[in-house]
Amino acid sequence: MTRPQTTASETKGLGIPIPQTPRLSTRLTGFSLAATTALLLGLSFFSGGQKAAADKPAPQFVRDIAPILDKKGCSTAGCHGKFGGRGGFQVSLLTLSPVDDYAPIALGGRGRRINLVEPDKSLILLKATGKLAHGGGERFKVGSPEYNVIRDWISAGAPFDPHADVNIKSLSILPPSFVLPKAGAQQQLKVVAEFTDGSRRDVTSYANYESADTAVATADGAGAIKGLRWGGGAVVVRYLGEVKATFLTLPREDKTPYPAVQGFNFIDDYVLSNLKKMNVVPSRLTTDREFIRRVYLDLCGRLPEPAEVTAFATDTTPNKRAKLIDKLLDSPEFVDMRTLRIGDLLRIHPQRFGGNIQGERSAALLTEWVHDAVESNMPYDKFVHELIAARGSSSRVGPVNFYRVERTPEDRMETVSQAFLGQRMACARCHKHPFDRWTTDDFWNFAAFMGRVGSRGRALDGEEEIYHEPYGRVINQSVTGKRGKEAMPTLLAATEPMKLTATNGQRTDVVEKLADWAVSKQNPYFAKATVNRLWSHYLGRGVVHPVDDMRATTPPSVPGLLEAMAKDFVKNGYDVKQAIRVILNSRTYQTSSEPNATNALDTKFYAKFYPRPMLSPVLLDALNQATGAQERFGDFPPDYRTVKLTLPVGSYFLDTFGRSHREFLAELEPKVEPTLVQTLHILNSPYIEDKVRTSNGTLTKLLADKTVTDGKLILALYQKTLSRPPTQKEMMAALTYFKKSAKREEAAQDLLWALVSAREFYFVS
Amino acid sequence: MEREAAERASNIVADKNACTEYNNLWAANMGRRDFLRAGGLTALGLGMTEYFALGAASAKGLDGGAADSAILIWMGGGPSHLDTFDLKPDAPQEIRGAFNPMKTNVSGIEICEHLPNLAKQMDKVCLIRSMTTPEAAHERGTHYMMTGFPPLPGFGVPAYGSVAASQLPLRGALPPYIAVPSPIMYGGAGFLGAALDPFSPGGDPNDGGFSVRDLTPASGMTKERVDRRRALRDAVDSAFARFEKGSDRAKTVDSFYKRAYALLSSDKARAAFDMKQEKDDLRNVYGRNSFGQSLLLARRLVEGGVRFVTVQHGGWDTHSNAFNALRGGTLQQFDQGLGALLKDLADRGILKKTMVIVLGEFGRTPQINRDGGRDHHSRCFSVLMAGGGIKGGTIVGASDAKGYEPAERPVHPEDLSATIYERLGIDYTQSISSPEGVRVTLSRGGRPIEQAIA
Repeated sequence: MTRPQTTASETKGLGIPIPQTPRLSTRLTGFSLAATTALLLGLSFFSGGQKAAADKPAPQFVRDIAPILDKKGCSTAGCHGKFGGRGGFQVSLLTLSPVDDYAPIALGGRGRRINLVEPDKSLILLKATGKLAHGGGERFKVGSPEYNVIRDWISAGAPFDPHADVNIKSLSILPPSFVLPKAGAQQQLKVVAEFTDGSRRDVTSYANYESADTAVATADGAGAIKGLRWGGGAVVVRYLGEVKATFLTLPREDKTPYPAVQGFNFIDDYVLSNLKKMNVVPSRLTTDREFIRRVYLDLCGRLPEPAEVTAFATDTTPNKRAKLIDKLLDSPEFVDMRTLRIGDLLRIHPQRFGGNIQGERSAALLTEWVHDAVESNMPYDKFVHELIAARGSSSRVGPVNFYRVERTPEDRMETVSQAFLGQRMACARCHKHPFDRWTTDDFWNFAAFMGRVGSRGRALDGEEEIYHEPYGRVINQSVTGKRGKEAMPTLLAATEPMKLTATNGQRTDVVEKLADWAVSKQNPYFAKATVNRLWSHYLGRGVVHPVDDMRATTPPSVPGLLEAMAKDFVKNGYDVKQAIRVILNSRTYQTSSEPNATNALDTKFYAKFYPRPMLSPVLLDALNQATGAQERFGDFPPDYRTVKLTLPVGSYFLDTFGRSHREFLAELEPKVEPTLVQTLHILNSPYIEDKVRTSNGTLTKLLADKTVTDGKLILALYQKTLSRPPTQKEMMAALTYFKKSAKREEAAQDLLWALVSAREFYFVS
Repeated sequence: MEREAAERASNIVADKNACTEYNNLWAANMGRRDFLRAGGLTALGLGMTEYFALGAASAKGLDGGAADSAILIWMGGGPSHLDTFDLKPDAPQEIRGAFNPMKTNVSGIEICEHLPNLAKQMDKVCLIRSMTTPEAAHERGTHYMMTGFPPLPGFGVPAYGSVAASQLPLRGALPPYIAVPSPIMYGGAGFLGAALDPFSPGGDPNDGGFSVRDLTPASGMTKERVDRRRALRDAVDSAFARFEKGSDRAKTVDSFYKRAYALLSSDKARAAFDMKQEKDDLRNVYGRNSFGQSLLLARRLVEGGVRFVTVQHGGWDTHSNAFNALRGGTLQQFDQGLGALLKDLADRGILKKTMVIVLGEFGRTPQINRDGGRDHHSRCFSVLMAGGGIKGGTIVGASDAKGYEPAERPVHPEDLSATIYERLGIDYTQSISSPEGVRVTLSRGGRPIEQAIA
């Protein structure tokens, strides 16, 4: 691919270099005198340049010059795209905002970056070709297409008119999805840009390509995609600040006939057909013992007792799994688990409410409200609406405290976007989101709704009242865009700001309107974001991952699944319990963690269940349950389980195993990543040792009972910890260990310790 | 009782002179990071990705900074610049305060009369008198000064120590980032992941029975039994191998078992924490209190290969009765410890490779309030740096006549972070990213402070 081809329709409106419009001049008022002088000099040479280029249309800055900055790596975060630039020269990050790049090139550097008299002596050309010392080395050669375009543009007087020049309108990629037949196969993409004047260009060689999963496929700079191994994923294409993705599938090479797999409900239709497309077979169904442990941990946050396991395993009722799911969904323990999850989502923590006794009160009040909402299975649209439209006293109305978690309009807006709509707005606070559509103006205009949330009373401690403040204002504080101007409340992706005054002259309650919109059926984000987050709680990874970053460039790993689940969710009146019921009754949730010959490499298509460490409160409860140890937290009643604690308590264990501190939006989901310190704590701490040896615990009771033989003891410990009997080999090994040990008590302690420190214990698998 | 122990260990007691915001924050931090059980947030963690990244860092030869390691001393609460490093003897009584300046071993540099030991070491110190931030609340100020990033709600950014731990190659079996005796708020790894949070020994190095959490076997555990147990656990755990080939998390956990056992069996690594190996004389020079002994431990850890150590000192939130409180022990303890550390590092010849940074979240109002204290003031305050490629005996910037605003060379936290990173050989202009793709530039628009660089 050489120069972008110009199509016929494009010549319209081109070729006439700009008379610098007054509008542009006003844009320049902020620049230094030196820069303005450079501009004036430029203008005086303008006519000469125009003549020289009269026979062919002059290149335009945005369409012809800016893409070179991106393609040649000039505008990366490590070079001139960095905040503050390099060598005094800064352009927009990844050329996401090309219009803003004209000034630094044409006017910056005291006007030396372009030389209108001798274009070949322009600093930008001398540096980029390595003729002058350049930290970035040679980016292109003298006489290369890039060089010629830039030189022609400078010869033409370096024209730029942000209002009249064409800009990008949309980007399309061909093919929008494709199959690579086998590893090693290639697919050439074709990228077409449509501009504001209606012209279209093939920009394949000027676009940038990134493969989302480089283990599956790689992309080269010319848009050729090469398959490496079976799988699927996105290739993200960027051109002039527009981002689009295309999706590839590469089936596993295997001539073995694909077995018939029976799905249980509509979820499986999507998951299984996607797997079949990749010629990957799902793992076997879980055994009853595997299933009951998993479902107890996920729904109730505790281990099933050995008697419950045995009863379930021997039950012959045909739909016993569905019945068990129903039973657990109606248990008070399920309410505690959901309350914990929502507490993480809303970041309910006394520290966020001021930290003192009032902070604890706010946290408790909001948690109680959440608890009651979960218990009564409040429809989720109503739940979120009550939070966003909350009004009244923070000491009496639980959801009002939602507005005490964050206090500025922009912080509150980020919370609403990320927690309920799966949209991360944070990047767009300062610059256009590099991988999403949101601009800084979108950010501040959306934040403007929250400017209408008024608060009366003491800011940090004491009672506070939240009310609708029709005259609240938010000022756009971005680096680019409409900085310093008042931001007008505009819904995400809406083209017009919301009307602030109704026909009768009344000021509209735009916060209420925002709440209405957020949970409406027309909202394209809400239902999908909600089911995706629920799915991730039970399957260990969102269909779109991360769950709070749903955008065109983070494709779903199972096409169509989220839409289908969202549709079902809406049809059932935003019934969360029902949504969870559907997920847990699927064959997909009930698949074993044990990989088969085809799916060991799978990490996102749900061909098997992904073992994940328990949430830290669940792990601590399981530890206490298995060892019979009692632990009392703060002033809570002694029988309170960790997952039930409505206020944070000091616990090294919980911190170490990654409970959410509910501090940052990125912590909406607790991190369960393993660390070395966890391992040390498990292996070598008196804390665990004390639980193993606790008086009146599992072990002491078994040891005191003279009828319990070594074999019975070993069986009981396995069942109490791993919810299964030992295999014959495991039993023999344990018996041998007992025989070799001088003291039976020590041998038993060692075995219980080994069981609770083994991965099988602290993974949900 | 545990709380008292923790208070002693942290050296920051709930201070009756401090504001409620500070005491609340402190109490919350204690509860949250649980030093109620005498502990730290996270010890010794390195996730596998970070572990591999470290390998990559060594390959890139990042080990070439002016400083090999750093000790950051946190003056929690916000020390009054007017009563420590930037006295205003010519200002009116209501600003001047109760203390007089004293000469130091560098002509032209004067500091508070209650810092005599430090005064003898000022030839090693670069005194920045024009630090400035807009953040005058404890939490926000701490965030800015511990990380170099202004506070944002979106995600947690990494503190200096976590960045150093992620960028510099490991030296030895000790964890690269240690908080003595306990972590400082916002001193963690943020989005870089729990694996790069500081390790914290979980006890007071001034206690006779000081030992490090989870590094010594539980009572009644003989070496022989530990080994036997390990074999038994491996046998039990082998059943999990059937899931392992499909799970990165499971694999990572397994690799940590191997590393944990390696560390548990390294006598050398554990010896670095053994305060008993220091002579009593030297321990006395540092001061027999938690702060002094923490500094001494910090020196031992740096010698043991640790890259970044934080030590905290409290009592600086002097809203009332400031001069009695400062004179009554805060300054003395601080002066004795810091003076001893600088001299000891120099005597051992490791000062030139060890950077010392002394800072708090802000300074204090020049105008003395009616309670005889000073309130929060972030527009202008002082920070000390020494060793590790920092030019000693210098002053950077200046405050105005009353200490309200920088009069010369304002220094922003981004400049400070650029200086710290540049001296450690870390590219402060690079952008770092979270596993999920959040990306920030290490020092957003900052430049190293030229006058501070040796």
